[in-house]
Amino acid sequence: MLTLNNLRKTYGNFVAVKGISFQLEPGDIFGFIGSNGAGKTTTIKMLSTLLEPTSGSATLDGYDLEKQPMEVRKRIGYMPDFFGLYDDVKVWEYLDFFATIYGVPSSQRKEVIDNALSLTDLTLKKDSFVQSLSRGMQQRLCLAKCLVHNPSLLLLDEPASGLDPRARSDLKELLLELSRMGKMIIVSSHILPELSDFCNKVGIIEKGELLLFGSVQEIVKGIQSHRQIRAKFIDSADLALSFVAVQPLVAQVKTLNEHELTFDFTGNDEDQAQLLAACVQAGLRPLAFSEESLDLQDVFLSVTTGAVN
Amino acid sequence: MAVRDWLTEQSRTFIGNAQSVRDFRSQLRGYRSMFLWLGYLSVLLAITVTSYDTAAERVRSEGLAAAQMELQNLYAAFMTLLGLALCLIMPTMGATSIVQERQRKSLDLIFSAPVKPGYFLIGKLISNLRYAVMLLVLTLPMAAAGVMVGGATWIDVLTAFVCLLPFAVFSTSIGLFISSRAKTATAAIIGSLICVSLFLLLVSPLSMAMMDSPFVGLNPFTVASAGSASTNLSGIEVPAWLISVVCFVALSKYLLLGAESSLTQQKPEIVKLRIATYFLLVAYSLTLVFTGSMRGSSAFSDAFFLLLLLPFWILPFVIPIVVCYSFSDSKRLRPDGWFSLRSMVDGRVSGSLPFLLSCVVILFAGPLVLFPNRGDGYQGLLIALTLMFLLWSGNWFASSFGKDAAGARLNGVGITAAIAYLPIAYIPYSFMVASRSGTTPSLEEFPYSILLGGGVSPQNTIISVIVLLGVAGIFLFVGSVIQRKSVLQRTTL
Ligand SMILES: Nc1ncnc2c1ncn2[C@@H]1O[C@H](COP(=O)(O)OP(=O)(O)OP(=O)(O)O)[C@@H](O)[C@H]1O
Ligand SMILES: [Mg+2]
Repeated sequence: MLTLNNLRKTYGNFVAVKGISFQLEPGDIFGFIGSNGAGKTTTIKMLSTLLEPTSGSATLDGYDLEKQPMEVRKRIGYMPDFFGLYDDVKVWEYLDFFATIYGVPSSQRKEVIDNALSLTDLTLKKDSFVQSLSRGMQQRLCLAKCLVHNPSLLLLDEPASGLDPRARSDLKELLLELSRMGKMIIVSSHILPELSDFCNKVGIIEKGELLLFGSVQEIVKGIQSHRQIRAKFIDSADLALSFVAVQPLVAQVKTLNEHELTFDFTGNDEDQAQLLAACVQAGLRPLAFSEESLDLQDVFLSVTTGAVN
Repeated sequence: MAVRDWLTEQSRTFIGNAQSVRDFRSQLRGYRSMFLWLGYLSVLLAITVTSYDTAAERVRSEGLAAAQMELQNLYAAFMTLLGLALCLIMPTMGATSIVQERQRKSLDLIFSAPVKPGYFLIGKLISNLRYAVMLLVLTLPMAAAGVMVGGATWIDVLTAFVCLLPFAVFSTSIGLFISSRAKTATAAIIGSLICVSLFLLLVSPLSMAMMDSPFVGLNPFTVASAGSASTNLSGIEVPAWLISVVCFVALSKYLLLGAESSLTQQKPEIVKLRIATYFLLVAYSLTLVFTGSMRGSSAFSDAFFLLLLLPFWILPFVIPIVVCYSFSDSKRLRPDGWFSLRSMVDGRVSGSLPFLLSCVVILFAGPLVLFPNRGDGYQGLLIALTLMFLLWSGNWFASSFGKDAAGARLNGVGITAAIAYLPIAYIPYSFMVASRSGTTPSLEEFPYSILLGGGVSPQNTIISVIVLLGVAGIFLFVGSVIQRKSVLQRTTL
């Protein structure tokens, strides 16, 4: 379990992270969203014990980040936003290096390396030199490096940048697999639709402040004060508009095209069903009548102002 | 339990160190080491060929004895060449190794792993030492040839190698230390070579002044004659090689601690470094007392002379790191106070003054305890403490400028160097005064002369202390005015 308690980082007078608190359980995949310079990397670096927090604390599986950094590091796999790969060694040697410094006994090293390679689909490249790998493969190697010591928390700083769509979907599968193994995963990214696919928790950070934290659905609900409904009719939309506009709980009716219109609706599910029935009774012939849900991108754009630090 | 953990950690660090295994793999693949060894071998061969040529010539013209003389010189030439190679190659290799990792951005990967920075540094040290061992091995046949023709004995060769290997460790550690702070490889290489030169500059007069100098093993260019040298330390004959092994290991350990603390900037490393400083100072002061006490009546003055010489070369580099801070740097924000005994060893700004003063006290404690009746010892302590206070205030003043800690430190180096070396200007001045009044110049009136070993009157001591305190007061006053302004500016921004 990971607990952040008012974690804060300042560079001189500049506050990069303004007191972040949240909690993750085993199996959680946490998507960390923010514009450039929002403070994602700074937070992740504090969690990886590379940066000392100015104030606040965090614990991983009961170990305090500042007081027992060695215990914490054994349980963390950190993948930075750059790879820092050595290019004059072979793929397995690279993993062997990290297995050794993470204290994997020499008898288990071979097996552990093979597992990490097969999880990241690099088995065929085992004896290639690191510099001969493509960018995406190097990225996967860096991820493989995070897995050799079986950590309970993975810190992945923009792992999807530079990957092709196929590799991204592979990455998604891999992360889901790791989450089923009970690992906590923190993924920072700019590619929002993807995050909402597989993250069960997301957090939006701007100017060092965690604006929202929760599951994607919770966040979307929290931001949406009313539903937006989109309706399609066989007949002309203008005809429907005059009827719908005067119904209770309805506002902001607009036609989208010849047959479709949207409107804001402040009622609940019951009210929505009644409205649909009223339309049918009035002789309008609806083809589709559905709530338009916001996605992560809309939420992100609506809560952040785009201001940078 | 704790001992066992420690032992496990040590064995893990020195045997099968992952960092050194990794470096070794890429060393084997690179051409760098091969070129290095081939180049070195060809120089050795060139020297041999030309020497044998002259030797053969002399056999014909002057007889066998003269030729043998020539061959004996050959051995000395090989050892000098080896020393030179070590002086150039080891610091360079050490200097590039961390900068390279930093530029490749792989340091974060290592320091997020559960290993101490010491593990990484020892790994780097071991992998670089392979070059040194290879150089020594390549020289071995030539040295053996020297023994065959009677230029040296096996003891000479062995002693030289026993001194040179720790020297290689030391010079690599200098490189690693500089590398842990430098931003570019070029800066690191130049810095390391300068540091090694400074060290040679310091030990050269000490190692060459007398044949049986205790420091003969410290100088890679004089190790060839270290075989028979020994020093009497309070009645015990200590061989020169032992002195150099102990010195080099202690200094290397110290440099590596310094590199550790600058790589992590974390409290435990800084505390270790400062405690090591105390240990080294105690050892240093006791050594000086014991070597000095064997040299007749002026022992105490001699000791003080040496006492000043070494630290003064180092002060301008050390004090700014300890004292200077900035307003925008992440680690050293505004000073957390003026004087805090509790922060003495943890690297906080408020602990810098007590740390520096306690260093001075420790340095003087040995001589003062062993010679309690020497009044000038206390005068020396008083002046040294005041001088340290002045250096501290100068660096505190230097912190008022500079955008970040690095800038402040650069100013600090300048101010410290000026304070430490400025009195040298007094020497020509005293000559000028003396020549005008027709007397001989006297160093006795030199402001810090008590430190230099002159017996100075208490009045002079008091005058010196007042002058030094006055200058320190000016530094502190002007510094605090500037700092208050800059704090106000920053908080209103
Ligand atoms: N060493 C430093 N000194 C001063 N400011 C820093 C330092 N490192 C980061 N910052 C500042 O902290 C803020 C947060 O940076 P951070 O790297 O955490 O952003 P990020 O969310 O990871 O951005 P990106 O999406 O571009 O990776 C930025 O404004 C940055 O300028
Ligand atoms: Mg980032």
